[in-house]
Amino acid sequence: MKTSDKFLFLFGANKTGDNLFDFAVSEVHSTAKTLGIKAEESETCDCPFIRHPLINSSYTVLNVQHTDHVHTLLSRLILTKAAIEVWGGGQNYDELNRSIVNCRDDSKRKYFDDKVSFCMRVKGIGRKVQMTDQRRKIMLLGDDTLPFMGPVNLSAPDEEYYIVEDYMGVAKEESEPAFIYFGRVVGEGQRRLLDTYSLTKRKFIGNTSMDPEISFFMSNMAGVRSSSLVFDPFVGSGSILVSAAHYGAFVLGGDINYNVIHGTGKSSRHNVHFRKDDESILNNLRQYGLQSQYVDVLLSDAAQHPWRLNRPLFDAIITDPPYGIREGSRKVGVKGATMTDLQSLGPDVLHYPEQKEYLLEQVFKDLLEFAAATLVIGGKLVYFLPVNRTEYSAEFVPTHPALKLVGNHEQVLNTHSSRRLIVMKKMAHFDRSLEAEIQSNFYSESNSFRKKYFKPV
Amino acid sequence: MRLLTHNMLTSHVKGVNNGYPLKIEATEVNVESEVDFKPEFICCMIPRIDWDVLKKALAWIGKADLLPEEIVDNYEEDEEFLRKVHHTIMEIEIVTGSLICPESERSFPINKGIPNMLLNEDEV
Repeated sequence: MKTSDKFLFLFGANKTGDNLFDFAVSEVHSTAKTLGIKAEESETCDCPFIRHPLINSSYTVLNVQHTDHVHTLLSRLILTKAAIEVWGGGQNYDELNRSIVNCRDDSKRKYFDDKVSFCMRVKGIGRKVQMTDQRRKIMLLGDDTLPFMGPVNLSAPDEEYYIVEDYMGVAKEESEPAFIYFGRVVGEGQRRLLDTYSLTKRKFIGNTSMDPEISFFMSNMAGVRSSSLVFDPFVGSGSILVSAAHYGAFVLGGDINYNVIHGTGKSSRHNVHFRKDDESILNNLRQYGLQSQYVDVLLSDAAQHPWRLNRPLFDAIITDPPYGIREGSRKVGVKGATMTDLQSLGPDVLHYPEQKEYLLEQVFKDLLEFAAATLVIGGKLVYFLPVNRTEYSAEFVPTHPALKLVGNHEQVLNTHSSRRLIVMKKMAHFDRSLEAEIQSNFYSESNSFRKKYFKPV
Repeated sequence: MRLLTHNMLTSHVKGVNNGYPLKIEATEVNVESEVDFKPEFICCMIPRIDWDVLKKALAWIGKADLLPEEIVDNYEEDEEFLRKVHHTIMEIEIVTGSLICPESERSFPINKGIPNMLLNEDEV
């Protein structure tokens, strides 16, 4: 029985305890599509021991044609901790042993060579397996099953093997796993980048700088590749652009806030009053050697954007629009009834226009229309949509005739509120008569997301 | 502001019918030679650029001879051509100056390389 094309993707643990299964699985599929790699769920029972993992578990098993493809995927994935080439599986250790023996073919012979050092670990899904138990379980795999002749090396082995025990959510200590896999580690995902790109070390941050884990995820969902041109219309400190640039994209940003675009004003760091002179989006990129990917940033209003519309511009628009919680949503216009007499100021006076509240409904309508007009065909819009959890239903996601919804993942913020990562793909050429549609009362002023977010539990 | 960006910006003053291209008046232009050359990216950008406007932009800053009149055939294989395009769209930066709307003559200032495209309250 052939197992060499089955790979178990083990997902990383998220520090805030969010369940990221949905996100992690989507990331693998979306990245595979971007890179032209086939990665499919094992549908057939050609290998009877492979069964679908529990929903909300922290792994998935996919058919991928070649380990090279898996390496390529791993070079992009931020939510996958490691990928394992599956050598066998079973509902107990007897079955596991039998299946490893059955699936052991010539391609595996080199791993048993006496010059190849190795180590074995036991990974519990939803449960940590103690060291003493690990040793005991490893002994359950017979020498005939795995005739390793090489030395054991725990710190720097040539090959690493995992026994993956799925407890299917059962917490009771004495219980046995419901299913056990065995396999060889092919490689790791990019989780070490979380430390490299940590916001605590970032030159320039704002109040709403995007966590690197989510930024990288957004870039993967947007299909970013080297030579992509990516735009963020609410760029802030550029945290999303940093991740896109890491994957080779060329990046552009726009923001209505002078201080954030120029890197001036009050600092968002604890105990620091004002930003230093060298805080800027360009310097954020320079910090990671990505300055060649920087195209430009503009002071601009997403509600009245300055981009020409007669031909496609961007491969991806990736953004986190302001929800009016930590940053107010603003656009140019006159507050209330007062009208400044601009003529009297004279042409030489530098004037920064007044801003009024940019209602959420209009933010998303404008964003979708902007994306429909400026994306290339096949290009993606990726953005966060704030929702009230009790009121939410699928109809709340804004739609546009030229854009197809291809992703919708919830990230819980608090009891009442969550934000949904929305991925849309441009399918048709822009036609000015096509308009975005939003279920209008949800984001209107009286039903404000902001008010509900702060409602006591 | 790089010329790639200039190629994609238009005047959006209310009532203006054709705000493209914005005229460039530059008081400070910086020419770098350290931006990594990525031929794949340049090839992707060529179909999205308005070539005539790119040439106009170069003329406005006194560098008209940096580019040939026409896009060459099979540019994907012409490294010399791609390098010229790369230099033009990615290595020339307008640091200080203005972008002028061709119809209304409204001026959008550029400071520290960043264009201010915000309209005033009475222009939206």
